[in-house]
Amino acid sequence: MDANKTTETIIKYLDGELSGEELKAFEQLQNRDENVKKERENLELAQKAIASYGLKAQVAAARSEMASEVQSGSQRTTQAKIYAMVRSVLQVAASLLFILLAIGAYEYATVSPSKLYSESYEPYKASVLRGGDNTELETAYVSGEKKTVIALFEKMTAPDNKASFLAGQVYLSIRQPKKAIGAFTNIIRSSNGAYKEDAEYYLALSYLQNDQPAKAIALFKRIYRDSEHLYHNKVDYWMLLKVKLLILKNHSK
Amino acid sequence: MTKAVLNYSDGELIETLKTERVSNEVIKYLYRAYFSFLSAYIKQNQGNDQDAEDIFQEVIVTFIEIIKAGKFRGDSSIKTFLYTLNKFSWLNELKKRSRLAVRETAYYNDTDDSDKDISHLIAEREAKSAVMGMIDRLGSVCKKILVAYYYHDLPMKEILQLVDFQNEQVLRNKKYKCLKSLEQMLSADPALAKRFKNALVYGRE
Repeated sequence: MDANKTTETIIKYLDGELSGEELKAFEQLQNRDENVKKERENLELAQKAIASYGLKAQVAAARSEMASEVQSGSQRTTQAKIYAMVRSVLQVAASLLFILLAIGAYEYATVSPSKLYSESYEPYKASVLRGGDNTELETAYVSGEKKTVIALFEKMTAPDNKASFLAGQVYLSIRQPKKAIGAFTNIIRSSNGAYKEDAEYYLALSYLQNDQPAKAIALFKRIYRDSEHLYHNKVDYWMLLKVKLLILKNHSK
Repeated sequence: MTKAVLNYSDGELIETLKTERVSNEVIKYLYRAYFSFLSAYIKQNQGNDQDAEDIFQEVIVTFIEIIKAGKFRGDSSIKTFLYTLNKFSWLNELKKRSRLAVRETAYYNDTDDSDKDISHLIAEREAKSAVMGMIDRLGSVCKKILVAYYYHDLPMKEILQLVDFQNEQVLRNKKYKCLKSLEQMLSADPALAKRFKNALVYGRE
């Protein structure tokens, strides 16, 4: 039997393909031929090595499959997290927008010149200097004698800024905004700077009372932008917004 | 589609490995159940993630071979057995790297007889690794044919569909040549063949 034929027979034997006489003959051959026995052992070892190699490859493949499952799972988790985050941000943004719209709608519906005027108006408090040089009009104002203040003011041909200012205050308090506008405008136009910043604020309030928010906002803006203005702290962004809403409302009428 | 995750008791796992072909599901179960536990040991003892991965893979292969050969005595739980395999595989690797000769010697002295039994099994891992290298040198076609035939037990008709051969006879001739090549490599290094055989003795016969 040549070497190739022997090897072929050994492989058939190991693969379980020999039977009957062939099997018997081979078993006898390997019993008497040490070389055949040795080759059979090595081929058998080679087959076992292949089986071990196959198992190792399968374990590696399963691990690799597992890793890609974990990775795709992780990608899905990351995507889900991003979507959830975007959804949360959008939900918060939508909620904020809704709240802003609701507040805007409420303010738009409820804002009115008189309401805004009431929120912003504070009567001017004048004091009489004890033993000082107070005019009759000033004394009447401090005493709350509004009619006297007006009567005295209207008699004056050239009222000074203080008289005009106090008269303007009274006109505002008795809801005569047009006359108040006249009194405060006189102060602003005068070359004397006394009561000028007070007059600007109360003139703006007079415009509000007279339902002229477009004129009021120009003055309020000037006060808002001027941090040194006496009435700067009384005008904030929210107030300007409300005046703008009033203007909008007036336009839509 | 989400696949069902299988869980096994020790008894079920041993029975499955003994009686059925090794499935990817069983291997994945072993990874899920024991990888983090065993890799912690490697990482606590100078190993890195890759070391833990390599050693675990080796441990799984050895464990399955032992079960298949009916050599698992069942004296301990699978977890304990895998831990011991893992420990000795890693100590063996450290020994190879010549890092821990002193500590390793001390460790061996502290271990009990059953551990030493396993350590003997692991001792020939280098020989096993060298033989696996021989198979790699056979080339991809030979590996595909031999693994399909001797590991997956596929009939020639099915193997023919995996490789580009005219007919079954040509495929048979190729299989013969591939196996003969490997046998010649083993014959050329009888010392290695003997060590490899020793490595298989525990697991196979």
